[in-house]
Amino acid sequence: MLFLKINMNSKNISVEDLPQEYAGLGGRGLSSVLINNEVPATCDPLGPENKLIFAPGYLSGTPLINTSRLSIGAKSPLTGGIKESNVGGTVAVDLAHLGITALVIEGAAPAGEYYILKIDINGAAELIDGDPYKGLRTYALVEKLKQAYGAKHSITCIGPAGEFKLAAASIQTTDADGRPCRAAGRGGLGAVMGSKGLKAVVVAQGGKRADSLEDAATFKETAKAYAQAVKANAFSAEVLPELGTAVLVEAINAAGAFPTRNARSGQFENASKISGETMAATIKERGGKTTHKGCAGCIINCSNEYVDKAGGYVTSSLEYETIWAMGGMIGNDDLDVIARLDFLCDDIGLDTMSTGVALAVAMDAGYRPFGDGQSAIAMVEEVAEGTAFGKILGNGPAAVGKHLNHERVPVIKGQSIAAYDPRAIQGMAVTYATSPMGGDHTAGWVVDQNLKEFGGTLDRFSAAGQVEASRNTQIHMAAVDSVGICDFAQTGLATPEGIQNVFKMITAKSGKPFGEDDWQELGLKVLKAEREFNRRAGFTSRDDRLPKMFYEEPLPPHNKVVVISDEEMDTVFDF
Amino acid sequence: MRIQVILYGTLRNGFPDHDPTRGFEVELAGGSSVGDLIDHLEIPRSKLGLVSVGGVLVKPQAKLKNRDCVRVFQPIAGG
Repeated sequence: MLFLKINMNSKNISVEDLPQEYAGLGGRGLSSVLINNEVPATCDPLGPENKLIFAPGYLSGTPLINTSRLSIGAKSPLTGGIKESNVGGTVAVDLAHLGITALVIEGAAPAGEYYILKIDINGAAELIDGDPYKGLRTYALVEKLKQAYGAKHSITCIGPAGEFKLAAASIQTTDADGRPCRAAGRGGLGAVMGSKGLKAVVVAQGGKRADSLEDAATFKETAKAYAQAVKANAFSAEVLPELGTAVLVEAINAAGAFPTRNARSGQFENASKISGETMAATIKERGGKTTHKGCAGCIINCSNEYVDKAGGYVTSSLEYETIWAMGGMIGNDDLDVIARLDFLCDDIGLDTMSTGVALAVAMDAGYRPFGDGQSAIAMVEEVAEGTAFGKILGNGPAAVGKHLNHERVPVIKGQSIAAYDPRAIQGMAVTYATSPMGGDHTAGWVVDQNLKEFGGTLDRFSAAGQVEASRNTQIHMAAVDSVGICDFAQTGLATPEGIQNVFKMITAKSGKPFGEDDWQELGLKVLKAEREFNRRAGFTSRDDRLPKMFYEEPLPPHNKVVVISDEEMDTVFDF
Repeated sequence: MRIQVILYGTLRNGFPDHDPTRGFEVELAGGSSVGDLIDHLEIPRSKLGLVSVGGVLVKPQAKLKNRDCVRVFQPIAGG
């Protein structure tokens, strides 16, 4: 349970035991509570007072499957509030295997100086001059770092967008094949990393210093039962390996909830050209991989390797939200263009969602026509080139809207919505509006609860029950993000026995009893810390609202608007 | 009556004649419902998610008419 503090001013690295006040926390729980305690809420997100936290989940690195989730937290330059963005790949497991509970990056190096933080197989950390790596895109950077330090390392890094400190900059990390294609995309955390002067974190794989389990036998037995539950679920055992999250394209489009052409419609007439089914068939025909392991310890394999017509690697992994942002949202029906844009975002170090929505806003304002894939590619390339427009685009949809004097900007607290239009799934209106993260789908995904066909009990066009559904899911997800279980392995949680198994494993690790009430309390503790930080940063209930377009413009084909009242929104966090 | 059926996700795996874009056609008795079609295709209800006809979501009891295009999805989860 080591706590590494890296000061980028003094270059001092201190290693201490996890402070008692953070005991039992991991992932989002640890990063959000720490930021609320230690970062001045009104600070400049790109200044030395901000802190950047890397924290594996509480269960990362244990024998439990699908727990290689790394939470990255800081004050966000995109939202101005607290941010946690979590990512897969292999680094969370590697840090946990070194017994590292958190890396806390403090201060800032002088402007223009970059460093590599290297952590060896014994957990010893050092800062190395990063000048030779300055300006590199992530794929080239990772290759060069692997040449210098060997392939058996997980690399977490920024590209040019992070160096430019742009508000849609991501932090990329390497997948199971060592490619920097996994993104902590949201909230502009790449800009925070850039502002610290940290170009990459290189972590040795195969450490043998993981925290001990108080009751290893019970842990292993329970982890096995949990894995069996994930394997028994058709969605995680059958659908995700074959089609990935892209399976959602046709289903959400059929529900009229697929935001199209900057959310002017809920259906994209060419959705079938960019669907998961078409993607899988294309990949197979060209000799790529549909069932692909992206993260350490994964038994689902939802990832894929998209290849070009000649069978050459283009990107990994093409996922639902990216297909939406770079497809329907910009009116583009060419999967090859989507794949290229996905690769460019990973390589430049940009959030695919914020970037796609920023392109959509630019197209909606008439800057380029909807559906013009080549222009979209050229605009994203401008970010890496550092042109004036490139910097505006790289600062996200709100920056583009302001620059082009365009009002239709689908963001909440500065961060874009995801691939579920809140007018067609009212529960998502509540989550987008009230999540301390800004527009965010993983913070409280209530799509299934809104669709009767998926076992939901709510009327998706009505306000009834939506606040409660979103609140409960947000509390639950804050706890899930803290223990570090992959969202898709939550299928193992879906049964009463499944969640009991998680409580049992937490108990088996800590040696302290943990039950349903503790789970609830953990989620609440995280959300309260995040809400408190945002309040001190200047957020009020007026920030828990959607942009006007969602209340005023009926969304075809159902022609509905958001009907959740302001008063109802304000009751979400009545705790 | 002739009904065009397009299956999504892994539902199409059991139907080797399923065309990726056009699906396949089935012959059903006049007055059949969406539920009758699902039973005819022997898709277990546990694997049934959304069903749409002409781009609009429908319930299993909805009546079909000749030349309808029915799209059948499976349950989804995640985020």
